[in-house]
Amino acid sequence: MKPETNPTDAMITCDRLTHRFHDGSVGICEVDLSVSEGELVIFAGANGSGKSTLLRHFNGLLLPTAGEVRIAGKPVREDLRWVRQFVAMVFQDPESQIVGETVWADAAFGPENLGFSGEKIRQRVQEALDAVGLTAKADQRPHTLSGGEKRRLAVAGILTTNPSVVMFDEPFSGLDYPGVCQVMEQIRRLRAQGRTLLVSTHELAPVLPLADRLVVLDAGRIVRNAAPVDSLQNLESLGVRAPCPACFGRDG
Amino acid sequence: MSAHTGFSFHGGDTLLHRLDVRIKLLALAAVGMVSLHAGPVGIALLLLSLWALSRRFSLSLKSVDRELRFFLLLLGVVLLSRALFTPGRILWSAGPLAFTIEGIRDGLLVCSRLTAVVWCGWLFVASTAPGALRTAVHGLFRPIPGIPHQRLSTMIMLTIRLLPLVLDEARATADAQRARGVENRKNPLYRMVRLAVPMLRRSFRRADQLAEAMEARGYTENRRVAIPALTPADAAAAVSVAVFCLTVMLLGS
Repeated sequence: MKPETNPTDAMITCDRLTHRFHDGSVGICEVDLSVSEGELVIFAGANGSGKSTLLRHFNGLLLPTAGEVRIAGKPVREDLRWVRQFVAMVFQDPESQIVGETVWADAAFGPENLGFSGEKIRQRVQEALDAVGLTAKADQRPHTLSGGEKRRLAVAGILTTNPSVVMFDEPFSGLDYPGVCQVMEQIRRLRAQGRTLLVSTHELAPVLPLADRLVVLDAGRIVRNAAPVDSLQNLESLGVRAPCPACFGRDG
Repeated sequence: MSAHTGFSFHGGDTLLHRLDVRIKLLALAAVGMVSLHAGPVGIALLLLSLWALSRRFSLSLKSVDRELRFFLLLLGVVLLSRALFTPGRILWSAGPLAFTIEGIRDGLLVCSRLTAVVWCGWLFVASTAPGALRTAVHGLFRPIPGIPHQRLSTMIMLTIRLLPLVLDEARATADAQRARGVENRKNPLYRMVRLAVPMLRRSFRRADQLAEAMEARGYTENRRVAIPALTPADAAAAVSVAVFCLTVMLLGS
């Protein structure tokens, strides 16, 4: 897939996007970016490079200080409710994302907010829990789940609203190997469904073989934006650990 | 990971489990108020009923013995202070300390009332799924104008959800501080402050993250919450509780 896309058919477009925090510090600076429908883009960079800040602009959790973000051609600030249904986010700490007192209640949170009928909520939740393999734990309390299962529940929670774009913020942090495999399984499934995926991570190795593009940020600016094979040189100088060469290129 | 405490929901399919939570909430409030004014016969009848309910619903006292320790200590203090400071016929004295018959009787009655209230609460918690409690609060307050029932039910939902996390964090923070020798400091105030500050900081940070995640998931106060309809069994239970409360009151205070 081409690293650069035609802005007219882009799913996400950033035009000179800049964000300053209340204390005056710059989160991201004049970012131009375009993501096509169905692309899987990895965002990498050292801590504080602006990855999470950038992602939060795509679902309107942060609004630009300058510049503009468009989702499917529509400015984000025009309709935040629609944007948050269209662009879903799996947070770094799933504990913060899970609000339901049971697995089922948490998965139902999104459709309840959208005012779906009881039958539609039940159907969506059932499908989502089936998809992530948590149906058997529907009545369990979320804090009793393992790390990988919590991430799967977070994915189920967003699947119920059927988003076109799914963002993962540090999806592998704090997970053991089986947990990473569980998350990767979900990413592969979402990709097979044709959803646009944005993954912000320090751990490139698991997801890089699936990626169409690697975007590297440094001090709030995009310093690399190309196909993964063209972006891997001297990654360490940008605070990113390069993946093991033996891992890269293997679909798994 | 937080362990379940005895004071938590125990799944089951008993009558108490099946009763509408709104009825159970109102019954809890009514029985709680009545028990605080009940006389010896009334409170004995109430305790007997609660014991029968607990037996029927296989809820064992053993599952809450850890949580009950402090409550038993409180009962001991109440009984002792009533026995010592209530004027009346002296049963036993040693120097300035004198236990009166009226004091012991009064103390036992107060302890029984407190026990009845806690027992009712325990049965309620053990037989009520947390999600159902949120729905019940939503349903109870929805007809009352001026009460933000949606916000109230969301607050309950989040409290239930976050309580185990806060307990986990408290335990982790306390362990970390013990590992750094905090137990060598004998001043309890110092230890409390050292525990509270990081706990509060983490709680506020978590609250921020939670608010952000809820926003990302499209949170709105106009959420759809399905309120179950009351059944004839619920109505029968409400009438039974009302009759029972009246009986306890009539038995005298």
